[in-house]
Amino acid sequence: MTLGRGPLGRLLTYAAIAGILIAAVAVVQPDSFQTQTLAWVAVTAIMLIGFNLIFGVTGQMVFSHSFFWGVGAYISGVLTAVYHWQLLPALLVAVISCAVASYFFAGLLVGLRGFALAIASFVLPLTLPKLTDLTQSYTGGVNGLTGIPLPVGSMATYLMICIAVMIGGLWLTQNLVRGRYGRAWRLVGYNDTMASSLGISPQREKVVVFVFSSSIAAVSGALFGPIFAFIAPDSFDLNAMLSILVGSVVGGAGTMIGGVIGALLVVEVPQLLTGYAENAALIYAIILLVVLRTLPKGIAGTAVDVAYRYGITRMSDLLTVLRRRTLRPPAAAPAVFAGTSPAVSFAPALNGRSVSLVCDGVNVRFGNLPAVQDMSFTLGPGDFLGLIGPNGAGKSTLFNVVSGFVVPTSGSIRLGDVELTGMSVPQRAALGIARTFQETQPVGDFTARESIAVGAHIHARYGYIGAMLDLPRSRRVESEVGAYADELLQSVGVGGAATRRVGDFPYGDQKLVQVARALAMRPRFLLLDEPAAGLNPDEVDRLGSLLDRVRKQGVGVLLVEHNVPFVLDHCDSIIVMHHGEKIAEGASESILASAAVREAYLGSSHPAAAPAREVTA
Amino acid sequence: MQTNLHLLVSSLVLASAYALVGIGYNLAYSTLRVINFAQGQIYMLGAFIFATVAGTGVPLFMAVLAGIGCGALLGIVIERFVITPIMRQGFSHGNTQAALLGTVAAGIVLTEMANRFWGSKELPAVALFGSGTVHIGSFTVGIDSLTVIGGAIVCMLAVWAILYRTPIGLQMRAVFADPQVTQLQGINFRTVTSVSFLVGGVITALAGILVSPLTSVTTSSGLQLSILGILATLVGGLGRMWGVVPAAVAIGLGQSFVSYYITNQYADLVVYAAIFIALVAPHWVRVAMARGSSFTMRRRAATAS
Repeated sequence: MTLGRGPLGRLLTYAAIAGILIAAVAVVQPDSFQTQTLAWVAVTAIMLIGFNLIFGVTGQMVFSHSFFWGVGAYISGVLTAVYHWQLLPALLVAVISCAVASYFFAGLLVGLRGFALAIASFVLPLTLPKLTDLTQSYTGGVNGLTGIPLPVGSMATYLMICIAVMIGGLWLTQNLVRGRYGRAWRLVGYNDTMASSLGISPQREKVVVFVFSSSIAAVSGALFGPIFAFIAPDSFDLNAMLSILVGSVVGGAGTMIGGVIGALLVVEVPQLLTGYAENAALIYAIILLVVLRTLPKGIAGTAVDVAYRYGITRMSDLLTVLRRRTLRPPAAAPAVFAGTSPAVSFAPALNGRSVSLVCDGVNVRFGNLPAVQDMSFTLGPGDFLGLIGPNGAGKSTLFNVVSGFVVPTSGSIRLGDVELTGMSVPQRAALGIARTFQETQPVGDFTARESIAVGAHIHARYGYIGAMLDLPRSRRVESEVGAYADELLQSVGVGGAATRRVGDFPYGDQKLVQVARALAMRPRFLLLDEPAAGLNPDEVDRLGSLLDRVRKQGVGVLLVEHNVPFVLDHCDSIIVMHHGEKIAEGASESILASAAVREAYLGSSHPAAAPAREVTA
Repeated sequence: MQTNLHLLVSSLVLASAYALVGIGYNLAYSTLRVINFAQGQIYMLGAFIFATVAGTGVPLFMAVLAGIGCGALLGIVIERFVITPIMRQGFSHGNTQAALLGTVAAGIVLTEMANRFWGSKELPAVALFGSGTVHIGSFTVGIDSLTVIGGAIVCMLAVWAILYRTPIGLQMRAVFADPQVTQLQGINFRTVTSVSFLVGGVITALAGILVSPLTSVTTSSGLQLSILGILATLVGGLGRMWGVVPAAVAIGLGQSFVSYYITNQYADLVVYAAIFIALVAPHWVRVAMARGSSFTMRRRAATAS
């Protein structure tokens, strides 16, 4: 399906598609009206590709993009029409201004999410007509800006340029989305708590995507002006934003190619129907309602899902299926637990001398309720510390203090000499503290391999430029990450299913993948929140042997768990909490013998509180 | 002084519209955790149906009933046929987003259908209790303004009474507190949801009936009301039923006084900017406070060691 294998093959494929489209324009020579419409399609597609980055990939509901579209169009339009600049420098000025403006705007918006974000960003497009009013002498106010020159001789040539830019944009963003940044952005959209626990700063990534997609909107705007030689505030009003939303949702918001499909739809469909101008909004709205109820992932997203159901996750898979000539779902890969065989390394990836994680006199109060009282412990490299106690004992709160989700009322958490209190969750993750969550939280359509790879985000380093251009370095890092992910999956016993989506896995395997994802950070310390809950005995064994290997390689493990036999078997030291206080600490034998522990678990009057029986809670 | 009092009355009239629409938003949000963006169109259609029916010469109360009935119907239709099915369907990133988009689309369908029916002409004003004036000291105020403000207060009291003095109100409040748990307690979630949307539709349509004679209402006013109502709701706190009232008053005051004293042309711009600041400010205050506390914490830790 691609011309040759690997990245170069992909580049050639995109170039070939662009070449074919451009040649088709040259051969067919559409009339001037069709040429104009097609250029409009290409420009809208560029806009949608950018919008899909923030709306579909990162899952942020923003309505501000018609504003940056308009601002890009106006800046470039005024510079070319009034000051007679060339299009290219005008476009660059437009893009840079929009990038700066959107950076500023994103910085303001970064604390908002969900509806508040949607509505606050909604305010921006409403100001565009007023802004053009204020700058009437340049922009023409409500009457619009006329006389935007075509930079090349004919509309057909301009159409070819637009197609080239569109395919180029598709290639760049597709590369970006496939790699580390795309994974991080998707994760931020699904679950920003988990993203931050893996060392990805959701706020930073959201700002980056926002600036990226607003800049692309500015490119699209600057290219839009010359098509009709005219722009007006209502080219970029709420109806324009609505058509963008429709195109995005119908085409497939989570995909880049969906932007091209969506653009074809929102530009061409109203053209085909008569009485276009007055019915456009109604048509858009009805299409949107129908698609939301029938194909919520849009055309491209649904196509990807259907292909996945038949085991096709890459273009080369499609080729295999075509050769085989039967379309059948892949057989379920047998879950083979590879035991201790693969040579996968869990050793902490961070350099420097080995340090201990110290929790020193931590107190947490929620209002008047003391949740954690004066807790102290030290976790050294290779230590395996268990934290048990009845429900409501404060285990999870303490856990959250260590990983940074809860700010303690007093006390400190240190890593060696480094004070962690006051550091954000991603900062702590970058210092080598990994955690898992009680619930499995499968992240949307992430495959097992992607789930692990996103865990390795902080190590799989390469820049945005490298990612976009698919440079050798980013390619090498990606293949290393993929190989490492496969080994890790092997070591938790789901090696055969690397390209399957984690959401399709049985519960136990999902939990094990979660542990593997945290391990992919190559952490100094691994904090596990009830990893054995809900696992069957075989899975508990797999988890146990995995953790034993992990700590042997020098990773300190802190385990919160209700499965007491599991804790007794694996931990070399155990802390028992009750009502926020430490009531016992020591090796498993001394914990079993402790009267305070028996009282906390079984009550003082319970006959089993006599010290002869074993605790099996 | 006279001017200021007049501005005050006109801002309270605007605030009544925003507050009632905002309570409609909150009723919808509290059950399904979705913003019904077609709320403003219910306002607009309530006003149009009322004025059209009143124009045929039937008694006014019949026209009011028609307007209210339209609001109730639209509330339930949007819940049953747009929001709930889409939410069950799912979407790549959280189905509340998809449902919000669905209500945006529904709102546009309603606007466009109203356009086909009534065109772009302005709505004739039909005042409920005539258009006389009342003198309070030296101050003259129109009966129509008093009707709006009084009517809004009555509507809010009615919503309060439904929520706090009826069995279904108790169920509604339970659902607002925790939609998941109440379903396990044998409360019929679907009924409660529909009743919430119904009540929200009714008071939104009533807002349209009351306020439209005083402001120019066209078929495109729906979207504007949606936006200002939702801004008031967000500033007041989404899901905090009465928080929208002070926010609505603040926005109304801002619009009236800014457009009179500062700039008429850019009044909207100023108000949008103020609302935008009100929306983003709480986050930055929190950030600043968190920085302060972690700073003192680090200092405390330093002195301790």
